Amino acid sequence: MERPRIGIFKYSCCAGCQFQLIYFQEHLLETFGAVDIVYGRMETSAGSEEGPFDVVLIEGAITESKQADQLKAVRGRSKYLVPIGSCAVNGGIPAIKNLTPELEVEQRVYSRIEPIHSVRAHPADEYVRVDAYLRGCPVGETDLIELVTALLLGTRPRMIDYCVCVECKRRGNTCILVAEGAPCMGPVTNAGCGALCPSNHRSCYACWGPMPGANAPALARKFEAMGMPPDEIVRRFTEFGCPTLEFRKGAELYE
Amino acid sequence: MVEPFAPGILSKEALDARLDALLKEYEIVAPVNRRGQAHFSKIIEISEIEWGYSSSVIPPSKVIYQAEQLLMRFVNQDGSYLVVEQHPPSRQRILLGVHPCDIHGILVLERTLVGRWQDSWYAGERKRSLIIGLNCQNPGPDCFCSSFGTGPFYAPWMGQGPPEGCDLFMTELMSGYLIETFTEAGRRLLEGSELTKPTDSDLVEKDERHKKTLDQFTKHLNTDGLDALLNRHLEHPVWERVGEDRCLSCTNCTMVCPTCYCYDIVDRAQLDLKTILRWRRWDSCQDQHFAEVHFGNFRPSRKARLRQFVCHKLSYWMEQYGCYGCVGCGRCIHWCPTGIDLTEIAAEIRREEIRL
Repeated sequence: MERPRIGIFKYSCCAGCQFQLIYFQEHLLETFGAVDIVYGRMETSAGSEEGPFDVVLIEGAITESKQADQLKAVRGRSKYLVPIGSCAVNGGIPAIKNLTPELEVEQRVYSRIEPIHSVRAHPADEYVRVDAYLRGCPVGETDLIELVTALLLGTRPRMIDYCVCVECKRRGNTCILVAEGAPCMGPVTNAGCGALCPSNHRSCYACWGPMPGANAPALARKFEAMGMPPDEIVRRFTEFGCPTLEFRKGAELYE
Repeated sequence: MVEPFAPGILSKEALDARLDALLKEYEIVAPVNRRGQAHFSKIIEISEIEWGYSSSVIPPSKVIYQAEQLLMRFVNQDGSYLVVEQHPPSRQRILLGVHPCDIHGILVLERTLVGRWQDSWYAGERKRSLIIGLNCQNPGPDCFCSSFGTGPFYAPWMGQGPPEGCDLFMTELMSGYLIETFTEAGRRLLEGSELTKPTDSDLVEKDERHKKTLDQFTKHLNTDGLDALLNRHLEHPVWERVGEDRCLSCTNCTMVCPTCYCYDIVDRAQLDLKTILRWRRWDSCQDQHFAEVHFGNFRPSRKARLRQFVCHKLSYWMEQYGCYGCVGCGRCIHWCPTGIDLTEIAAEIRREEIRL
């Protein structure tokens, strides 16, 4: 694809994924100036959200109806639409609130709730069809490079969709879940980080969200057998990716 | 001085001195304790070696068959791509302290990788590796090599064994190490070391240690007609129950298995599109995309994937290669986060058949 026209839309999130893109974009533009950022509030002051776009990247969870409206409209103006980062891919951190009634969440955060029009946190694919997922918290560089190069080469990107254990074992690590009883979420979490936390002797906390088809109930029962209290098990499966079917199945056993 | 290929005894001090000298010449990869677990790692000092280890996390066969191997680079030159093959380094290295089960693991793995079809990358890594075996005197709770005859002490198995799989072989005794030499390369490693002829009491001690080690095994697998037994019970409820209740599809079992050879090929383009790297990486039948083909996956369920792993090791391998694909190292049991045990699965199926 010659100089793909890219739009970047940000919803509820920390904007860390766009920062990741900006570091990346500098590298990208200097190297071969291959893409046009047509719209992206953090990247360019010019541009319009009207498109049309070759690729739209969605950052953040949908937590307002007007965000959902814009997302649906943008889908029609873009050839490809890709959620980037855990919030857009599976609800991420904003979806922690999904376990508490919305009004209570609003009252806890804001002194005046009249201007607040929030709804549950949803990933982008609950509203529109998406063409790929760029997972990560922030978005992973391997997948990002794969997506960009596939786009430029006209090939189908091969995104990482196995669990953290695969990367952990390829690095030759000792399994801390087995050897030390650490509450590692690696077996149910999508890889791409290079098993960053387990390689540094820390439990994976599932920031990339679930591996598709993960067997969360089996891991939740393992945590229970290790003596983890039920509320802690629920937290492990709702901290990231609370709305996902995979993690729901783990959490609901102990709610 | 004893005859070159006759067994000899080397004192602990003399062995250390010899290894110290070899370390100047060779890269030595040996079991090293990292946070309580043995890992085959490149050593800097002889004192790092954990001689009495039970089992390493990653088997030595997978030090040779690497997790990620760069196969080739495609380099864009004026619009067309030039293929540049990557080859393993030629520097000789020593894999030291490899237990009999793991030597058999290497031999079983090689029936695939350098059998009818030669994998040049594996062959290159293998060719540069000298192997020094070590009889195991510390089996872990998940070890069951004695059930296959692949350990804990070396004995020929399926017509194979250390003479094919290693250059030197050692047994720790009171008086030092009993050293058996199997190849010319192995003999050269010992050049300059004074070996003494083993006494009768050394040989008696070796047998006693062997018996004592055998008594330590708590896990056993009845291998009698095992391949046919599993083949008769591919729809046994154990597959569904263990697969759904416990299997995480995390791939830990296959990743730590000394005989699992499956890999994936990935091309990674660099951003300037001038260079594309072709990597080979360990893959696993437990991954849900492993058996995915156009329009579907012929092992979509965890039940089917778990059954594939267990039956490949304990049944299908026999038809493919004339031996079991399992050497009883116990790693898949030990490193399974939910404690899935293929010996228990096999025993459950056997009990059922006896009842019928």
